[in-house]
Amino acid sequence: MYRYDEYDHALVRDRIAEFRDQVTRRLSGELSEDEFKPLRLMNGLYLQLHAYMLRVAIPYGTLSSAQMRRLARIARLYDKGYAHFTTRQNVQYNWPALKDVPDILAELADVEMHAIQTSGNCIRNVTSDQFAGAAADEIADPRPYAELIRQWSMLHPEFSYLPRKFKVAVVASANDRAAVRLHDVGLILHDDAEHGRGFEVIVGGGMGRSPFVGPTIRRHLPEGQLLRYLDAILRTYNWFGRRDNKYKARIKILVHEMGAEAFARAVEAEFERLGDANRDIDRLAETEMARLQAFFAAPAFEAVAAEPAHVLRAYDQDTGFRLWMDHNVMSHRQPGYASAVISLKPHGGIPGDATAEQMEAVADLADRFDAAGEIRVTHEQNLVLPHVKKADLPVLFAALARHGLATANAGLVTDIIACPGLDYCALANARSIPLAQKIAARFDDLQRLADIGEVKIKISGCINACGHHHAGHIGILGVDKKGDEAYQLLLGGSGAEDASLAQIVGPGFSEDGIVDAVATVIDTYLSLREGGERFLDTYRRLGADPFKEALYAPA
Amino acid sequence: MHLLKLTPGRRVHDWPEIDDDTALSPQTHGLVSLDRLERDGEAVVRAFGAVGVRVAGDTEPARLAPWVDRLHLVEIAFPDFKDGRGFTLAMRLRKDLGYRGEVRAAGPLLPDQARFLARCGFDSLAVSSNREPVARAALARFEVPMQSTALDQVRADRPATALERRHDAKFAVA
Repeated sequence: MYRYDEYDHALVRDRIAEFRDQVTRRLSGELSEDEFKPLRLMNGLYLQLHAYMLRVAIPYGTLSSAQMRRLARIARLYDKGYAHFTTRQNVQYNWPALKDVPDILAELADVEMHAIQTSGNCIRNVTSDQFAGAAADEIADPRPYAELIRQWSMLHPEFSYLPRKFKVAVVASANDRAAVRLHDVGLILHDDAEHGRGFEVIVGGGMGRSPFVGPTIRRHLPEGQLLRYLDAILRTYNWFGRRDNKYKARIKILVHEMGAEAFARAVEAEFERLGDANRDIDRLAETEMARLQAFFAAPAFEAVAAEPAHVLRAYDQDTGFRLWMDHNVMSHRQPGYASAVISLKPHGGIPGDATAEQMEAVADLADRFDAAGEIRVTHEQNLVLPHVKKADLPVLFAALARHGLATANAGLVTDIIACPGLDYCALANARSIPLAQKIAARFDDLQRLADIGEVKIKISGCINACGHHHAGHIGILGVDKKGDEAYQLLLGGSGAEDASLAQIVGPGFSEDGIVDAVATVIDTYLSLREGGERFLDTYRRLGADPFKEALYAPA
Repeated sequence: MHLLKLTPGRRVHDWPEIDDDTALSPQTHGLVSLDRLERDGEAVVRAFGAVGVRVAGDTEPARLAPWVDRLHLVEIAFPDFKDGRGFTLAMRLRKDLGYRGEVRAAGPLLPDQARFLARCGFDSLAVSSNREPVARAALARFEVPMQSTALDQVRADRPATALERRHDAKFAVA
């Protein structure tokens, strides 16, 4: 993984000194809350319903075991002994004291981490494929590109006071595991004989109040021109993006109002204006890419048996292990290796939460079993050990189970994405976490979950859509219905390469009613599915009607 | 208000501001609104030894294009410190219009923004005197930028970026 050099270290050090000074000025009253707010946000510090929340960046979801141990230490020393992994591959602490935040940032800096630009109207932490460097289907490891973008975006002098936040995601596989079409900018690496290696550039996707699947504005951008092209996109957005209404300020609204073609022309014109005089920038970016790629070289894999006999035996004999293998273990490009998904969705738990003890256990297991000693955070709020020898899987499974981390539900009904909701968030209309827990309780049978197969349930407590309900195969949206929490049901969304937006199926439900509704939808699917169809495939084949009928027909 | 110099080489000083309805009289320096410049253009240029213009942060750069060669100061007034268009306007003035005179930042900016302003081509910042120490400290922070900007090719006095220091021998620290 990437390691800081003197320049990265100096930047983070200066940032902590700057923020320490800003906190002092805020506490003395020299800075008003209005002035302090954007400054603290750009350091990841929110003011929530009950307390401050600190969001720490995990660039493209890659962590070393040492970094994970430090995150656990911070949870224990400065929080209530746990942390929350987010849909943007970051981690959040829900109970830090303002006066402690500079010290927490210093703890992070020790392990080459920070909270810079995890919030605010600036370029946010760049996200990527959680299986980068391990997936059999990737063209190249996307993380060197993501790191190039991370550095470019750090304290960008021109693009730190944008109309609204700006999120970039990068993948290098035809299978989109980072929801690139639902980002402000999505990049897909392609490599073909005609054009060579380059990016498809997607702009103006997003969820929130006005969801859009982003259009492609450039089919092929040579990789060396990436930073200049991003510069052109950001300048166009910074200049033309709306600032009169925060709900219309995202780039997706600009792209929608201008039209994707007109927006693309404006970007290309700006890109041309940056033309010849800036070839040096491209050359430097290419040289830097070579440096970054070296950090992400494959770990030393051993030549091992592709299918160890004792693992096959355990698979046949142990139902629990078999379910976990079927759902939480992913194929790897190296024979004899696999990627193991560590579910942070135990039934009855809080999606994405981990205790300090669990985080330390994961760090120890990464040291013991991962060829790179690495951990990944997924946008579905789980963790991954990317490079595990198959021969070690039974021992790993047993160790995870001891820490409550072996729930065999990755990609299944109870692998729910939920925003913090009304339990934490000042914006929410409704609670999300208790609803996720009720759904998990309703489907608390791993064998049944396995029979149902892949279903992505995503719950947002309000229309800002932090729980990504638009991208849920089944989406649930909390709405404020005259003081009672109420929930709308949406069906048919996807954040993958077949991206689509979920549609509201009909009138809303109460908290108990929505759990019944999810069960009804699943039962309807099971009665209608053909062959190995996933829920989403059945829904797409038949449309909403059979589900509506089952949900709303008079008893 | 105090004027803080953001670029080392440039001489900056106060410019007398001429209201839109005050008659023009000969003087060495004069700062007018863009509306006034567009209305009385040639007369303004004749009256002042050096012409400055004040523009809002969202001014279309094309409006400044006809005057670029005759201006000595462009003062960009930010309506709000969170409105980042002024940063882009300064960039466009420099890189697209080739403007070489002074660019000044005005309006309710935070002293913490001094370094970003300097890197976007601003030469001076109007700041209240009690906030000047913070602005000076901000200017000294983040000495090595992580990114190139669209301005780099037209500015000789800029700091070398981390990429340049890593890969280009002429920027290597001895």
